Amino acid sequence: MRNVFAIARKELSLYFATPWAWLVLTAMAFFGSVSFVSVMDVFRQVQEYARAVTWARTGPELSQYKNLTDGVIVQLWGIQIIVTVFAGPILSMGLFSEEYRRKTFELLMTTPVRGIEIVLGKYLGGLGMVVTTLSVTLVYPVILTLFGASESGQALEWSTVLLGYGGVLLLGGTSVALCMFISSLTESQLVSVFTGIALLLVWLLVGSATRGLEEPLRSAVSYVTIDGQLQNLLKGVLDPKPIVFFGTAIAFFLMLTHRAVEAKRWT
Amino acid sequence: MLTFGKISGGWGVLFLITALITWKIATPTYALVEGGIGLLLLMVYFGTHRGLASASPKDQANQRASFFWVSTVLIAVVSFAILVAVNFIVAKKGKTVDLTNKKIYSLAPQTLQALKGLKEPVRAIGFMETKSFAYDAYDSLFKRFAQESDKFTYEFKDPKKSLEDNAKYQIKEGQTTVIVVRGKGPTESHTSLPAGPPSEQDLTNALLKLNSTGTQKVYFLTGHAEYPITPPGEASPTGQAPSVSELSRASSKTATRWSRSISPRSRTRSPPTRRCWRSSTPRLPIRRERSPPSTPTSRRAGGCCTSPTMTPSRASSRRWRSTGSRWRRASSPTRSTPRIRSRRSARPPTTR
Repeated sequence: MRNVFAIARKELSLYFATPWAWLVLTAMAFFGSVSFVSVMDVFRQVQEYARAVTWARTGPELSQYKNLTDGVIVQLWGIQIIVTVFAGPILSMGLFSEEYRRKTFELLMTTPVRGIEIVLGKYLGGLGMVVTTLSVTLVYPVILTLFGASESGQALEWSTVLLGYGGVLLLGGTSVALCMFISSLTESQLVSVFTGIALLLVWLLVGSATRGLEEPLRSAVSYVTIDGQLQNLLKGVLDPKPIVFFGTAIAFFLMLTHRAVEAKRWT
Repeated sequence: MLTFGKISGGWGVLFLITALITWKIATPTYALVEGGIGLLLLMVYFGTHRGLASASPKDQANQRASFFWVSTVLIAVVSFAILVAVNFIVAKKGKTVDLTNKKIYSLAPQTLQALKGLKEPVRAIGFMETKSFAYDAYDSLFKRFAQESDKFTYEFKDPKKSLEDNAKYQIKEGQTTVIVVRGKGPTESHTSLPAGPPSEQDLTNALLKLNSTGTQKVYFLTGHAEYPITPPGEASPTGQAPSVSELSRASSKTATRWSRSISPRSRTRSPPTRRCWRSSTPRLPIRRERSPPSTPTSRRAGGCCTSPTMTPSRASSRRWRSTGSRWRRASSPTRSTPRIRSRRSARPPTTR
């Protein structure tokens, strides 16, 4: 396990030595802030409208704007998921491809470190970077808690907020595992990142294609969609399904990556 | 050439994956064309890499490498099967926990009570197309109910395709509705949810309604000047006690109240419930020799006292009066049995 953490630490330090990590962090902070301001603006407008006409006269589609948790934070998750779909591949594109390109992979394989330790170490490094980028967005709920007010006393339901973060983190972890597997197959970072983004986008959009499917295919396809898995966690319901689903997906991709890395011994 | 093959292979995979989406968004023809192009590009990949594989006999001869690839494929297949199995189990057995402060995504206590009180399996059938916007909302609602009770199951049917069920439940073509069914075969009873957005309250009401069918009780109550059917030792001075005690034993407050209300002391009207009825009082004084003996049949009838007919026609009323006593009707199994049930209670518990 010591080797795993050593590799993870080295990967994390490498991230911050390159401009990529800073670019991704800046981009996430920028998109997050723009989204936060626009969502807050919509929330304010709806609140003013509701105060003028009373909530009873507003439509059911506006009921989610009654509180800050559903009106602002839950709205932000949609944007955060899209950002994560792009950030995951960018952060993990070089995990193995860069080693292949620099011809340092052979050196790594000759060290007294097992293949699984290399894979886990690199994965934890990538995951640490995703956690760092996500933690940048924590400033928004903190701002709402400090400056927001609610009739019930609490401006935000932190259980819902943390479950949402957990859901997005699960998606981020899965995207890192998938893109690390792709990265282990090619020495081109460009191929790695574009393939990763393409696959994740297809995965994200396949949910909208289930509407016309017949049962039981519809249920089966809906189960594997990102939307279908995360919807409960994002609204504040602790659901074991996404935890198991993304957990098993991460394990599967890590296993494939391990086999791909081991395969380098034979090719 | 190898790079070209790789690029072709990548695009081939992409085309094959997106063909699934095209199938739904556009037409199947476009999807087939796209899938065909994807397969063609994949063939290009295999074509360009076939020569490479055959050109390295050293690798082919390497037994360890072959074993590695075979084991990799096997491990991947087994891992995938385990992954699917674990997800299937969690999807079926997994329980959700509502962490919101006001438990807005949990079922109400009344609903939980109704689900716990289900005597028979209940099945909800959603007659709606998968394209319907209500589909997802009903699916989510049914899942929450099914999670709480094993006796609640659900399914969806396309009203355009399930013609047999349409006729059975009197559903018009293209109608979006939900039928809640209890039991099977001749004992099946069903009710439908009211039109409108999916509501936990409506579904709970439907469950309560179905659950209460088959439990309607018929009470035979003593009027004044009649013999109680209980043994002589148990009768109270008022003559009303046996019926009250029997009803109390049956835990029916309504019926107990009612039995009091028709006692000779009170002049109040019969209770508003339409599942019960009041026995008409004989106009003529009952002579002792006509009063009924306490037969085993009458005791088995469960009850306390006499039972009149529910729908006394004029002729039957006259006949009734001429006999001077209702007891004979109540004690006669051939006649009293079908007449015990009122029009309302005799009707199947469906509301359609």
